[in-house]
Order: sequence, then C-alpha cells, then structure tokens
Amino acid sequence: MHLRGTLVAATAMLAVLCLPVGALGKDPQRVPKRLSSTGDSITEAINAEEWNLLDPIHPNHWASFANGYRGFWEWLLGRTNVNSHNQRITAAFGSRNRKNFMEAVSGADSFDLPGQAALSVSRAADYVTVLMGHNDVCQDDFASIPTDAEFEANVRASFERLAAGLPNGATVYTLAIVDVYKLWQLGDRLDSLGIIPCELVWATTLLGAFPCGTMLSPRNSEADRQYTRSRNIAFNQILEGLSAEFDQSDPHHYWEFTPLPFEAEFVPSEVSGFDCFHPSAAGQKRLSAESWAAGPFGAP
Amino acid sequence: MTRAWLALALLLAGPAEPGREVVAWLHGEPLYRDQVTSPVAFRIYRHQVDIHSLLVQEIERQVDARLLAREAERRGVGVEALLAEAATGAPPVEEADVDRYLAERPQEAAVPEARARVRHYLEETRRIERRLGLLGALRERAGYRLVLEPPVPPRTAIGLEGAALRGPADAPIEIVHFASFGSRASARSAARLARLAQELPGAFRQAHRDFLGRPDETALLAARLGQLARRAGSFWSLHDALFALDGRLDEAALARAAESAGLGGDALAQARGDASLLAAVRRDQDAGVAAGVPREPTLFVNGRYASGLQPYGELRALVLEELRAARGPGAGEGPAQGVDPAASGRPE
Repeated sequence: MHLRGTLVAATAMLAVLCLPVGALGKDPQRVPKRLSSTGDSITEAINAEEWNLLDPIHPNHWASFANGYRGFWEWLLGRTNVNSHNQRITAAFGSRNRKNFMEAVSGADSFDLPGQAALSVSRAADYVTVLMGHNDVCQDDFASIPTDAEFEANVRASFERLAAGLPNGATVYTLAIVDVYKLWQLGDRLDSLGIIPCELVWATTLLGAFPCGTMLSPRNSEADRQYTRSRNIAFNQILEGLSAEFDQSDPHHYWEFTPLPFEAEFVPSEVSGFDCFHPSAAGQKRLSAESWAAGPFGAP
Repeated sequence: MTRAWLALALLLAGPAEPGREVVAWLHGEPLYRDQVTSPVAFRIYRHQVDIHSLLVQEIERQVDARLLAREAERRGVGVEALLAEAATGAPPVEEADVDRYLAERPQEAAVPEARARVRHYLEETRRIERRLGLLGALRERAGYRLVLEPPVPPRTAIGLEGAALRGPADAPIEIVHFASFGSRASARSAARLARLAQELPGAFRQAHRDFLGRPDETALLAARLGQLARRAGSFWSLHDALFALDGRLDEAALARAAESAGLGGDALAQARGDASLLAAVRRDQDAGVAAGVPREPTLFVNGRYASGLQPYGELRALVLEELRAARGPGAGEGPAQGVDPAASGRPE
C-alpha cells in the first residue's frame, strides 16, 4: 500500500511537470464586460440592412454580429434584431460597467490588425473578437494576396500585442474568414435593390469599382476562384494554429477559434440586398448566434 | 377527455371546402392555408429562394462526389488519389512565366513579394485546372443536367386598414407604395406612379404606406405629418407636395407643404406632440416588414412585388400585364371599365 501510494504521487508529480502552461491554471477567466471588436467591413456591418445610394460603404453598426445594439430607431424601423455578442453579454452578465468598442474598420486587412490590437489593449478590453482576413483574400489582383508568411507575421504581431497588454483573464475569440467562394456561387440568385443582377454589379471589379476581383471578376477562371479559396483556407489554418499556440503558451489569457463562418452555407437572404457582397442583417444575426454558441461564453 | 371534446367540436364544425387545406379551427370555423400564407407570401417566397439555393448547392456537391467516386472505383484507386493524380503532370512554372505575367500587369509588379506570390498563384492554378478538367469531363460524359425549377414569385395580400387610398375603389389594379417622404428614391417612385395614373386613368387604386429606410428625424416628422393629414382628409395634397421636394426636406419645407394641404399653422407641433401618429407610422412600417418589404421604395402591384427603383417602362409593362389579365384576352390598353374615355382624353 505504501509503495503504491508513493508510485501514484510520483506519477501525479510527473504529469504536472509535463502539462502545458495553460492547464496548470491560467488566471481566472474574466466575465466579459469590455468588448472590443477588431476586423473589417463585416464587423462594421456595412450595408447590412440600411444603405445610402450616395455612400456605398454605409456602416450599420447596430447590426454588427459583435457590437450590435437595439434602440428607438431599430424598433421603429422594424430592423432585424441581430442579438449581437454585445447584446448577449448584457443579457448574460448584466449591464453594469459595460463597454462596447469597435476597432474594426472597413477595408482593413491583416496589416492593420496590429494597430487594431493596440487599440483593444488601450481599452483594457476583457473580450476581444477577431474577424479579419477578407481583404487579404479579396484583392484587385492575385499578386496583392499576401503570402502565408506575411499573413502569419501580421497575426502573430497582433496576438503578441494582445497577450502583452490585455488585462489578465481576458479572452480573445478569433473567427474564421468567411468562404468568399460560396458568395460567388450564389451569383445568379442575387440582385441589388431588386433590379440589378449581382453578377452585373460584380463586373465592375474590372474597373476597380467593386472589391474582391480575385473572386468576383467575370474574367476569372474557375481555377482562379479555387486559388483564391485556397488562400482563404490557408489563412484560416494560420488563424486557428496561432489561436491554439497562444492558448497553450499564454498563462494569462484565453484564446479560442471557431471555423463556423467559413463552414456556413449561406443563402441569398443572408447577403446584402444592396452591395451583393456583405452579410445582410439576417446574415449578421446568424453569425452572432452560431459564433456565440460555439464561443467561450456560449451556453454549454 | 380533451380529445373527446375536440372530436365533438370537429363533428359540430362546418365542413371544410374541398381542395383547400385547413391549418386551424376556430369556433368551429376552418382557417385555410391560403388565408394564412397570402399576407406573408413574399416572405415565404424569399425563404423558398434560400431553400432553392441550398438545394442547388447540395445537388452540385453530391453530383461531384458521385462522379469522383465512380471514376475512382473504375480506376481502382481512392478519390484522394484520383484527385492527386489529376493534379500531377501540370507543367512546372518557369521564371519566364512569372516575367510574362508581371509584364502583362505592371501595376502588380510594384507589390512587395510580387514574384513569390505570382509563382505560387501560377503553380496552384495549374494544378487546380487539371482537377477541374477531370470533373468537367466526367460531368459531360454523365450527361449531367439540373432540372430543379426556382420558386415562382407570389402575390401577397397587403392589408390596407389605416392606409391612405386614392383612385377608384373598383379599379382592376391595386398598387401599394411603401415609401418615405425623406427619400429621393421614393420621390422618383411616386413621380412614376403619378405619370402612370395620368397615362392610364382609372386603371389602379393607389395606397400609401410609410416605410422609412433609415433613421431620419425630418422624414419621421414628415411621416407623422402625413398621418395627421390623413385624419384631416387632406393626405394626398400633402403627399404630392412633399414628394415634389424630391427628398430634400427641412422643417420650413414641411411647414409650407402642410399649409398648402390646408393643415393648420401648428401642424408641425401637432405632428410632434401626438404619440398616436408615431404609432400609426410604426403600424405602416410593421405592415411593410410583415409583407417582406426589403427597402423603400417598394411596390406591390396586385400583390406582385416590384422594386420602386425600376424604370418607368418596366412598371408600366407590369401594370399593363395585370390590366390584360383583369380584363381578359383581347383587352387592350384602353381606359379601365367604368371610366369615361372622353374624360380621360384617350380615344376609344
């Protein structure tokens, strides 16, 4: 008995010494109160349900999957309630000491992420969302798509800033880049404003007047589109890999990744009825529901 | 016990009409599917479009999977091996290929790491092209044809309770206009309707429903003013005066329009202060959301959805199509029945 007890204790000690840092006891995870979202036009909910013919890049922040909210105008206009992460945090954890910051900027790419990460740190955010990379994949031409090494360096630098500066116990939740190929696949089933086929709208990529020529240009072959998709996949693998790496090595913070935005099969009603490109409010709503459920604070 | 009562209720209930699906019973009276679906037909249609899209995606996926599985079996290899085999043999990318690519696109050469990126792009696309070539050949040999039909746009029953109406009550066509006084697009749509009313007098009855496209305090005030005018019986005078402003609203313009419509000098204050007017605007907005209105301006022509942004010719064609359907075969473009051709100025 005595020998057996000694052996058990020795085995346990050995196991503890071999465990990765995270499992040894990270700082307690903070309840999310100070939300900071990083990313691009998807997080800004560009043209989600309201648009302006004179301003083709029209933010609908109330409809952001991350920062969305609901007030008088959303109620009066019968707007889709996206039930964003911001709203879910308030519902789950209360409205006291809540802050809702959006660092995401339309047109931003991985090269902008370190700067946005610095802003999240300056907010003392305890919950940071990362949905970035669409403007790395979506370019006017193929030579502008960054290499894997460039993309990884940008994301790593951003994660390092977050790791160095966020309050202990904060959570960083990274979402996969949306599968832009699936958007292209919907082409013949989409229209803009009910009158213009989206494929016609996308043709203006030839003039540089519409984003994502690397997927949506009518000059692209199927091989071109599959190539762009392969970058989409590669960048998501980098995001996932870095999230896992930092979660293992960072004793103070929590890092999670979800592939759901890439895996989702989206439908015409989930694409902006104006720009044929960004998620509609219905799309943002679904993105919020699925990513929250799969995320660090979703119900078990 | 509950089941017994239910059975007795059904026994005592009136018979359902043959050919109509009953979806509920109330006081022994049937509620039919077509009664329930009609007001939300356009929203249902948009979901049907989504379903159709999902089905097409899944069909394509299954077709490719079956073709590859069959071909792999025929060759005695696995599917992954088949795809890998298809990708090999792609011609290697030479420096000259990269040079040629960048010479044709000099703006791309300025990007850092352009050569490395272009080489990667050329290598990968050559491999992808070979895989796609295999799939294309397999599809052609299999005689693949997609026969799934897309859903047909429906007619939606739009409720008109509380809506402002003009035109003959027995007109063969009803046009419901979801619009905002503060929107230039809505103003243009209203102008097209006015032109249509001049060209086809008596052909349609027009209904207006407030539908704001975005937060706009002045447009909201205009809508409340419109509701006030509707109660006073002077809505359409105000409607025409406001849309004549082409979406360029300010309080001074609203005050002038209110005066021209015969509303009192304190109309703006009244519009602001009366909460029931805001509730009326909200009801219109809700009616639009319930009907599936995606944006302003939107029209429903005898329940058929049409964007308010479409050119006049397309709107006219839609209305004429409905007129012909209403009047029967052989009917022309002449004035609607019951309308005096002499009064309209149109020849018989």
